[in-house]
Amino acid sequence: MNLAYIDPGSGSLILQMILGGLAAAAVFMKLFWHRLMVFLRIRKPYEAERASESAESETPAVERRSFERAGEPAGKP
Amino acid sequence: MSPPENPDLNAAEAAAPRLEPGSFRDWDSRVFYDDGRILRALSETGARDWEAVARSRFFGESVAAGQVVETREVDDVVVPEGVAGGAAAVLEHERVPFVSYPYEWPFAMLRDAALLQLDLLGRALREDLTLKDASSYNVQWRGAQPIFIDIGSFERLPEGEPWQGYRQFCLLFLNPLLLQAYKGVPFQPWLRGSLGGIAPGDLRRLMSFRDRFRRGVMTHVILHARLERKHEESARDVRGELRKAGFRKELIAANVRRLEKLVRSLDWAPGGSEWSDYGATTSYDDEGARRKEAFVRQAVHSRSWGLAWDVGCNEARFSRIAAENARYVVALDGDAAVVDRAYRELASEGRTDILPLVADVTDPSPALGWAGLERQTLAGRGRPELTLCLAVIHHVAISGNVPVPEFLSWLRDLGTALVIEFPTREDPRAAALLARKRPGAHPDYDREPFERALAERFEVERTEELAGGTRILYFARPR
Repeated sequence: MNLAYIDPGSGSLILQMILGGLAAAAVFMKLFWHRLMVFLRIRKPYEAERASESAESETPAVERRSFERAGEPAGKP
Repeated sequence: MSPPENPDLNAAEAAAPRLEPGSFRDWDSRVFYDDGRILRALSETGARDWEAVARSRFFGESVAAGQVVETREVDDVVVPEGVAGGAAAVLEHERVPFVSYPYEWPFAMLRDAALLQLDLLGRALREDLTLKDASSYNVQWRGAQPIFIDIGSFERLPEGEPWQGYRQFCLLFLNPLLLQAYKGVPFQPWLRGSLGGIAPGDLRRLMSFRDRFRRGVMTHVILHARLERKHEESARDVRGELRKAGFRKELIAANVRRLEKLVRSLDWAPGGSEWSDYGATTSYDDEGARRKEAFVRQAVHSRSWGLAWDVGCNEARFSRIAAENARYVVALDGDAAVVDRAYRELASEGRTDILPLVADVTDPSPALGWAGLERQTLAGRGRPELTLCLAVIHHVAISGNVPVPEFLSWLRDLGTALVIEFPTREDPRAAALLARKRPGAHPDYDREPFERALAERFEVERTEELAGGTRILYFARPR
């Protein structure tokens, strides 16, 4: 084991695990929220969103407007 | 923790290689000096870490951006005997112009230093490197630009381990910032009294019920303090457990991003500090101010100077004049609010030649730490060749009760040339300070005894009376 020259503190290490867990939970919640929005047809699945984004960048401005209206997310979680 | 170097080595000391007395904690990396050069002896492990760091992209980019000291491997030096087991490699570092300590920085400086530490860690992680500690003493300054000096902090990322430096980051960066941002209490006296920083348990006791809901307090202070107390005596192999549980560097990176957001959100707006409006309401009309500037400028341009100090710098207006012809200017003021403001301005101008520090000359930073050698006195880190003492002696002598001859002796012992301003007893500001004392107090504070004491210690080259003779400027060289 690679021991540091400073005592990192057991409590401080455990706290980092908890914070890591919270971060993981936040990601999980975001994913869950997104799936719920897709299920309720408020948002499109990630793949479709990405496809429309790349389409937007190649589409002339006039056509893009209609895209935006259709593709506008209802709100961010 | 790496020690900043001492730029004020005298010639005899500089001749033989000697260890930096503050660099003993990390056995993989020890700083020493040889002939004025700043060197670092690395152990086998330290040398392998350095190889990985030197190859990384982020390191080269950080050095090029001025965030990390320039460093090269050398083989033309003899390592001092005190380095156990010799050295597998030796590095040479660029010198920073004047060493300073976190207890001399205003709020915004400590915050920028914290952001530099987090930025380096975040970028190091992407290349499977990390920082083994997080000491605010590892950040130094080129003027108002922070620079990371401890190359020995970088190491290869041990897989599955959390960040070893997190606790130290809280003690020496985050908690002092939280203390000042949320409680309005200056962190400098605490850091000066406790080189290890502010423990979560101590800060927790200061947090009110309302504070618990402020950003960062619940996790980094309250939960941290509780876990620390609970696991104080624990001999558990927490690191082993964490590795088994699948701790990954992404979790460190996520924590670093959160800390960065938290630190960015912290700010300190000083309330009515004694001198924060001083610049706007000086004792001079335009003509007087112009003549004072001309007097200082003439002294500054009488020759070129190495290090200059501006004592009682306020908004650092005269520090800027000193910088016209001095290699480096240290701008000192006892009021953290004015130094904070001066720093923000200097930083936004990108100045690298003026270092603003919170320092009260009637109580300058002492030597501190192990054997009294880890942290040096203010003067021990670099004596000025030129010192500006403008509108400051009445504070030192009347508010600070330091006898005028003793103050002048202190300046004389620095060996510095001097531009000093003496407000007479009739000057409104000096009179206001005298009015707070019993009648007849400070009989030594007068023009005649001041001039006598000055002439005993310095060769006065030039004087000029301003403000109807109630303020006199002197340019003097040490006898």
